[in-house]
Amino acid sequence: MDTVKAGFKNGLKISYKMIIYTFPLYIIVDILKQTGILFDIGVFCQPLMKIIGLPGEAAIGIISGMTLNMYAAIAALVPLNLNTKEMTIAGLFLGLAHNLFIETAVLSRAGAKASVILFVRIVGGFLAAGVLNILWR
Amino acid sequence: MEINIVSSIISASVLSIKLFFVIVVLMIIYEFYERSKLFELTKKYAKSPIEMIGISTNASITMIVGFILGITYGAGILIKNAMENKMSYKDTMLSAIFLSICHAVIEDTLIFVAVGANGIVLFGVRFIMAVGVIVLLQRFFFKS
Repeated sequence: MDTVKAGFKNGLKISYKMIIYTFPLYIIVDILKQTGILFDIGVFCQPLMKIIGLPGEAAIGIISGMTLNMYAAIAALVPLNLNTKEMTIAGLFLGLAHNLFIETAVLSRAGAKASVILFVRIVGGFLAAGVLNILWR
Repeated sequence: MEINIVSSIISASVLSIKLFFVIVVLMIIYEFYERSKLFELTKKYAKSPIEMIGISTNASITMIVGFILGITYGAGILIKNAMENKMSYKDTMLSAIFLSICHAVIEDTLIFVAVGANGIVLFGVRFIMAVGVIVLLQRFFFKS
């Protein structure tokens, strides 16, 4: 019982942290979509997103994920109705390159070189997602 | 232009509730795992594959914490280990690079599965890529 309680408590803490991002961000992105602004952002970002096989609109989710966290990214991606392949590619890219400010700070405090870590994560993200986009049929 | 804020709020709530359930269930399962014998076994058996890819035993707890918990949640443990264990520069860099590619695998994978991604591909690609990069670096950059 103790275990369930501790897990529930942690779950509450984490979901609180995530919902303060996802809830408002989802609404903002959904409204951007309804007004057509998201479409314009999408057109602008299309060339970069095309490398990894995502629609241009996904850029806003990718940027949210890189600077904030996965939950913010998901909140921005769900309104786009991506298919399984696209969602997996977004997840893979973000799996490598998310929450970059905070996590790079942590790793460099632990003694790793920040520039190397950033390079591996961002370039690695584009590589992994780009290759997956080509291989997945 | 017609803007429907109510439908946005409803969808945002549905997403929030969905993620809430995934996270709570996940954390309860993780709590059981951490208190079980399986956790000790993982630590014991993860050691040799970690050494096999060229990272010394000193770094193995750091690796396991980061792999499962992630860099943000595991931050305290990561920094503490790095300072106390006097991990070598090579160990620090290799484990940091490994973890950059492949960390928080349970949570990251499941939240994306919850919104429609393929979890096996997500986990598999990250894991294989992390091991591959480490093996290559070991060969060409950190040759001792």
